Amino acid sequence: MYRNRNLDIAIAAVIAILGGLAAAKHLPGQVTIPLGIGLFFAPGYLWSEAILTQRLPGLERALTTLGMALIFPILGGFLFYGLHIPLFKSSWIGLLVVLTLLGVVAVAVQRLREVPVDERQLRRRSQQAPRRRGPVVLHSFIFGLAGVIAIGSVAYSVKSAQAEKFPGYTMLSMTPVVDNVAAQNVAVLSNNPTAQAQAATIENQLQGTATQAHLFVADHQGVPEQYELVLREKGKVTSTWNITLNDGQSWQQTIAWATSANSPKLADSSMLADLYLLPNTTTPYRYVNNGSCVSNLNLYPAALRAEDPCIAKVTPKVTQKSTAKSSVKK
Amino acid sequence: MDGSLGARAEVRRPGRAERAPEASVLSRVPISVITLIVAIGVLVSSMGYASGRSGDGPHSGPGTTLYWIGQALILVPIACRLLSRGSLSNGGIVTLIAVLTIAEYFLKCNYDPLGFAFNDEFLHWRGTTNMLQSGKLFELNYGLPIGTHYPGIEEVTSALVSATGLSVFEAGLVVAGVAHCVFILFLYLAFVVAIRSHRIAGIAVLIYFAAPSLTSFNSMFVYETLALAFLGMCIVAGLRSAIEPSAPDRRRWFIVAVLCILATVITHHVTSYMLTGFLVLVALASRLTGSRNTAARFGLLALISALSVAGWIAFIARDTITYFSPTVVGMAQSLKNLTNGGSSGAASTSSSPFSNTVLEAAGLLAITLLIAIGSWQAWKRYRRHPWIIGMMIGGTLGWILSLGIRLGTSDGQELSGRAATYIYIPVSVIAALALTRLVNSAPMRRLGAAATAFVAAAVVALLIDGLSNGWPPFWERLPGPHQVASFEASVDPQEVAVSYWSLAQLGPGNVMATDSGIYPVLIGYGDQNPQQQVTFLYSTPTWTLPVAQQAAALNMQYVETDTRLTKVLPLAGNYFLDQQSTPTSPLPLVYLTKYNHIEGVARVYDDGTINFYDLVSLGYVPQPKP
Repeated sequence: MYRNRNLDIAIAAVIAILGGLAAAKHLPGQVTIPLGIGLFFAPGYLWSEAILTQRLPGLERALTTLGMALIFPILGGFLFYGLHIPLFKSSWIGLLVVLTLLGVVAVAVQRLREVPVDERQLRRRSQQAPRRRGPVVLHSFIFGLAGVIAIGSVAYSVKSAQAEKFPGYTMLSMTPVVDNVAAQNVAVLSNNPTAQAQAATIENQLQGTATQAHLFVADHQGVPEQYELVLREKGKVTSTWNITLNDGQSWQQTIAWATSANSPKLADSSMLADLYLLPNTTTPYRYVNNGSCVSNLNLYPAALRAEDPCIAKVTPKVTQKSTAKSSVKK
Repeated sequence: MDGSLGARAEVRRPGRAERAPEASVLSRVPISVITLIVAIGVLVSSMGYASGRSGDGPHSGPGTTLYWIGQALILVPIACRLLSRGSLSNGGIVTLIAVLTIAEYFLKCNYDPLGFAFNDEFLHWRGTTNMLQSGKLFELNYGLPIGTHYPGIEEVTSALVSATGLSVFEAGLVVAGVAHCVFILFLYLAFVVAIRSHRIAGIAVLIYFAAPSLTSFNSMFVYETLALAFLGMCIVAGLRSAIEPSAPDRRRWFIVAVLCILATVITHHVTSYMLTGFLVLVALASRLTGSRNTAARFGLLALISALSVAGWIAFIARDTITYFSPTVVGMAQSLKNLTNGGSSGAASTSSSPFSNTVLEAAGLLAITLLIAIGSWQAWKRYRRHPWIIGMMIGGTLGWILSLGIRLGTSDGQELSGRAATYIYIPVSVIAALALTRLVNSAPMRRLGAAATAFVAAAVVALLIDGLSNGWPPFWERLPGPHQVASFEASVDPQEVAVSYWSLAQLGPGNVMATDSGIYPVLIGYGDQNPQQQVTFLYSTPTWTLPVAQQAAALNMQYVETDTRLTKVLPLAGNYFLDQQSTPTSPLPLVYLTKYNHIEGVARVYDDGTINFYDLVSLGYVPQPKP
C-alpha cells in the first residue's frame, strides 16, 4: 500500500494531460467525456491532498475533493478576468491542466516532506475489520441492482418524454434580413445599457434599410406535409413555391423586401405570404405580412382580404387606430 | 468536559455504531435493501410522471397515486431506519442520506429529462451560453440582471463543458447534482461535529429535507445550489479550523474556509450574506459560552466574509442594493404594520388544496413545538456548547422571523419558503434534539416499536408537507399537456422552437411583450429581452392612443400573442407577470387579434397559436396613404 501511495498523483497527471489533449483535439465523446470529467475533478483531489495533508476519512476526502473542484474554476475564472484573458475553451482546459500539474508538484513536495506512516500501522489498520465475503457480495449485488433501477428510471423517463404527444404546428415567418453586429456582439453589450439601447436603435434603422427578407417555413406536424407558399406583392402573386417537409425540417428563401428606403412614399408596398396545407389551396393555413396595406382590397381574393392590415378600417375602430398610428409615427 | 470545541475535538468522532438498548424490526433491514426499495420508489414516481405525460398531467389520478407511492417508498424506509433505536454506523447513516439526496435529485431530473424546464434554469443556461460564446464574465442576461454579477455557476459549467464537450444542459445537471449532494453531506458532517452524534445528525438532515425548497430550487441549475455547497463546506472547514488539535491542521482548514467564503461571495448574494450571519452567530455563541479561541477564529472568518461581501458589492455588484431594496422595504413595512396592530396588506397567495393547507399548518405547529422542546433540551444539556447554543438562538429567531414574513408580507409564502433553506439548518438540529429526546423518553420506550413508527410517520408527514407545499406546485406536480402562462407547464417543444426561431430570425436582445409562459424560454433559448410591464398591451380590444404611447415609451419592438390564452385560465393565477388582478375569465380573442389590423404593424410570425407582431415596422414600412 505504502509503495503505491504516489500512484494517485501519477494517475491524476496522466488524466490531466490526456484530458487536455482529448478536449483540444475534439476526440469523440466516449473518450472526451470520461477524461474531461477526470480533468475537471483532478485539481480538486490534488489540492485537497496538498492543503489538507492529514489523513481524512474517505467521505471528507471525497467531499473536499468535489468542493475544491467546484471552487477552482470560480477563482481561476475570476483571476483570468483580472488578467484580461478571455475565458474560451482553451483557457478553461489550460487552467485545469495547469492546476492539476501544479497540484501534482505540490502533493509530491508535501509527501516528500512528511514523515512516512509506519507500514505496520497501516497493515494493522487494514486488518482491523476482516470482511465477511458472503454478505459483502450480496449487498454489493443489491446496491448494484438499485443503481440499475435508478438509472433505468432515467432512461424510462427519457423514453416517456420523447414519446409525449404534442399538437402539431407549422411555423411561417417573414422577417427582414438584418446583420446587426451591434446586437449580436454579446461582449460589447455586456452589462452596458447604453450599448443595448444603441443596438436596439441600430436594429430598427437597419430594418428600415433592409432590402431582403427571409421567408421561413418549418414543419412540426409529426408527419411529412406538402405546402404551397404564395407571395403577393402589391396585391398580385409574384412567387409560388411548392414545399415538401418532413417533421422537424425547415425551408428558407431570401426575397426582395419593400421598405421606406427602397419604395416611393405613397406607393403600394404591401407584401403578403400565404401558406397552404395541401391539398387545400383555398383557405390559407398560415399567413404573414409586412404591415403595409394593399392599395385596393379587390386585388386580393375574398378569402384573403381579412389578412390585410387595413381591413378593419371599415369598422368603427378606425378612429382610434388612425390616432394611434399618428402618435407612434412621431 | 467543559464543552468547548477544543475539548470536544478529542471525542468528536462517535463510535462506529451508536447502539441503543432496544432494536426494532425496522433496524434490522439492511441498508442495501433500503437502497433497493428507494430505487424502486424512484422508478414508481417516474412512472407517475409518465402517466401524467400520456394523460391529463397533474389531473391524472393514477399518475398522482404512483408519484406519492414512489415518494412513500423513498421516504418511509429511510425515515424509519434513521429514527429506529437500532444500531446504525456512520457509514450507514451517510449512505442513507446520500441515497435520499440522490433519489430526490433523480426525480427532479426525471420531471423533464430532455431539457431544462424550471424557469430560473433557463436564465443560467443563457448565462453559461453567453460566457462560452464571448469568453467574458459578467455577461448581459436579460432575465436575471443581478445574476450577471454572480457568475460562479456559469464559470463552473463553462469549465466542465470545455473539458468534456457535454452540452450546457448535461453539464448543468452534473454541476447541480454534485453541488446538491456535496451540500447535504457537508451539512451532515457539520452536524456530526457540532452535535457529536451521528444518529442525531442523521435525523437533523432528515428533518432538513422538510424545507420546501430543498428538493426543487436548491437542486436546480441555479446559482444558489452551487453556493450552498460552499456554505456547507465553509461551515465544516470553519469548525475543523477551530477544533483540530494541531496548529498546522487548523491553519490548513482555515485556508479552505477562506476559499469557500470567496467562492460563495462570487456565486450567490443571499447565501454569502447568510454565511456571514452564520459565522457571526457562531462567533457570538462561542464568546457567550466561553470558547474564546473558537470565537476569535469564527470572528476572523466572519470579518473576512463581511469584507468580501462589501467589496464585491462596492466594486462589482452595485446593482445588488437596488435589487433587494424593494423587497426589504416592503417586508419591513408589512411587518411594521403588523406589529402596530394594523393589516399587513398581505394577500392570501395560497390556493392550495385543503389537504395541503392542513398539512402545512400541522407542519408549522409541529416544527414550532419541536423548536420549543429542542431549545429547552439545548439549554438544559448543552449550555456550554457554542454550536448548539448558536443553533438554538439562530433557529428560534429565524423561525419567528420566518413565521412573521409568511403571515405578514404580501409574498410571504414564497419568501419564507426560499428563506427556509437557511432557517431550517439550525431548526433541524434543534428539532432533531427534541425528537431524539422524545424517542428515548421512558413513556415512548415502553411503547416500543409503535412509538418509533408513530414518530417516523410524523416525520414523513413533515417531509411530504415540504414536497407538497414546495415546487412544483400541486397543479403541475406531474408533467403533462401544455398549460397557459404556468411556469414549467407552459414549456413545450413549441415554445422552445419559437425561442430558437426568434434568435435565428430576429437576432438577440429584442424588446418584447409576452405572456408569462413563454417569457423565460425566450430569455433563455431566444436571448430576447421580454418585458414585465406588458398587461396594457393585452387589455384593450383596439389599439388606442394611450397603449401606443406606452408601447413607444417602453421601446417595445415585438408583441407575442398566444391564442390559447383565450381558451383557458392560467393555473398559476395570471397571464402576465405584471397582471394585478387574477382573471376570472379567459382573455377575449379580440385583445390579441387587434394586432392583425393595425396599419404598419407587421405580422412576422404565425404558427397557428403563437404570433409575433413587429410594432417598430410602423416606422419603416412605407405607408401608401398620407
